[in-house]
Amino acid sequence: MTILETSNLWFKYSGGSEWALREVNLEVSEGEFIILAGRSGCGKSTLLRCFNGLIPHFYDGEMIGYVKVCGLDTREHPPYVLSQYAGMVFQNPDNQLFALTVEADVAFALENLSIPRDEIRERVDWALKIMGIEELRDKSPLELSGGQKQKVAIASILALRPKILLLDEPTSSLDPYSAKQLIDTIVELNQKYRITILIAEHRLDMLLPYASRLIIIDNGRIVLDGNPREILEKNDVVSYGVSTPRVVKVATQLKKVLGDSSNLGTPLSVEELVEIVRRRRYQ
Amino acid sequence: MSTILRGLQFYPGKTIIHKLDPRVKLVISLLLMATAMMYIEVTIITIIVVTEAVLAIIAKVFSRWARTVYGAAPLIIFVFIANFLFKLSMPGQSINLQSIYEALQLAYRLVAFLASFSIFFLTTTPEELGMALTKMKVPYMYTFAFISAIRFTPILAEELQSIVDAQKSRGLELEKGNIISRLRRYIPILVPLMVNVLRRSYELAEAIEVKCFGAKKNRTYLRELKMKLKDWTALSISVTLFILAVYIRYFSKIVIP
Repeated sequence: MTILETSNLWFKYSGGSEWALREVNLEVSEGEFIILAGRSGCGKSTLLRCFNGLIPHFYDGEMIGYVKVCGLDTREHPPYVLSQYAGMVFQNPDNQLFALTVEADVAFALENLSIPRDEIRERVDWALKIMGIEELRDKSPLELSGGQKQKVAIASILALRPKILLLDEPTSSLDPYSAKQLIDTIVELNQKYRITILIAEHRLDMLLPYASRLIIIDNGRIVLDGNPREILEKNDVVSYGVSTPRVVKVATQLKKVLGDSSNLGTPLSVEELVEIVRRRRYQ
Repeated sequence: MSTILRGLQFYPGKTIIHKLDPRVKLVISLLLMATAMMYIEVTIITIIVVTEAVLAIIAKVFSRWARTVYGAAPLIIFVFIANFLFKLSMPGQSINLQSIYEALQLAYRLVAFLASFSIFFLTTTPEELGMALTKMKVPYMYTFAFISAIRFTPILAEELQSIVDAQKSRGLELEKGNIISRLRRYIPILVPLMVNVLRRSYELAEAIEVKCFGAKKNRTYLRELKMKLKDWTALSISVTLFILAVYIRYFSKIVIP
């Protein structure tokens, strides 16, 4: 079932001379896990902002084409309506938390929507639970680590019960360990709670094994869109400013050493590569 | 300055004073101040200060409370000198013990003022303050501004520090020269700080948009203040004492030493 679609979408920021998005045609089905990759400034963030109505309602500019989120045209519905379908988490967790306790932050959006208190309580409990941060409930955001803050930011959006979660480089300010933990939680949201994920991210190594689809954007245009394994097998993504995951590089080198008949394929995780090599040894 | 600010900082606590409704605490603080306004006599002000000290001890914040009052010493001395000079400038006044004593009284009264505010802030979370503002029908826009000011002050302080460090490591010398050249040296600190603040405010605006800020006219609240028995008790005791103080001052013939 299509949950998100864009049709011939072009966007230019007011005051900008270049199109930030060019001819974007995209169809997303419910339950997908999509990585948006590309060099900084390629249009990933702009595209994400089209999915929750920040474009065209918050940012001025010229927009051609349309975006439909769960059947709602983003030109006709304000961000506060669209956010209940497609919730957005930004890069810097500090700028997404406004309250003085975690609980108040998670309740913030629901209070704004004047949802009854009992339901707020229920949804806050649920969001804290699925993010695994119930013990942080009464903490101040100043006491939290970067990874914890980003989890609170995600919980505060999840409380809106969106079907789609948009994440704009959520791990960029985190150390590798916290980034891994955050990504594991995001994967769980997708696999266990069937939330559709669109994530703009540079850390492909950690994400690729879970992604159902990889979209590479260059200069505002979707240049590659499809199964991550196939894309990495057939294309040199480095020219689009995307770093090839290390395990793919290792496999490519091994293929050179072992010859084309080695049948290594394109493993996306270390575990996968080890499994392939082990199977070959016993053949 | 920093000592006074520290006195206004909140430390979580579980004493009966912490758990009182912030509105009641605010009323008590204001009543203590009003009492100090009515009386100038050293005996009464001492009674007020001692009462405040007892409250601070019950709330287990005595040392921090005392530090705030101590930190306010320059202000108190300033008030004393200003009053003293003002008295001298009146026609027909000369330096005598009486005028020193009167200026001292005014400065002492200030101690009672500050001390009462300090207890309030030391035992009330900013969040409770926000809830109290909401209950007092202050529009949410202002409460939100207040809460986020408190939320972002430490972050901005941290940012300021890192800009200072970065500029110092590029050779900026802040402690050199006279006042004018020193102020000029702060420009490379203030410009990046302003740029950062502007950028941050844009990101914040985006984030509150996504979180449906201002979506509905009537906002709901997850937590709300409720007056309990202990709040009513504390309120009635302090109001009674205040009425007594008013009576003694204006309607009785008791002479205060």
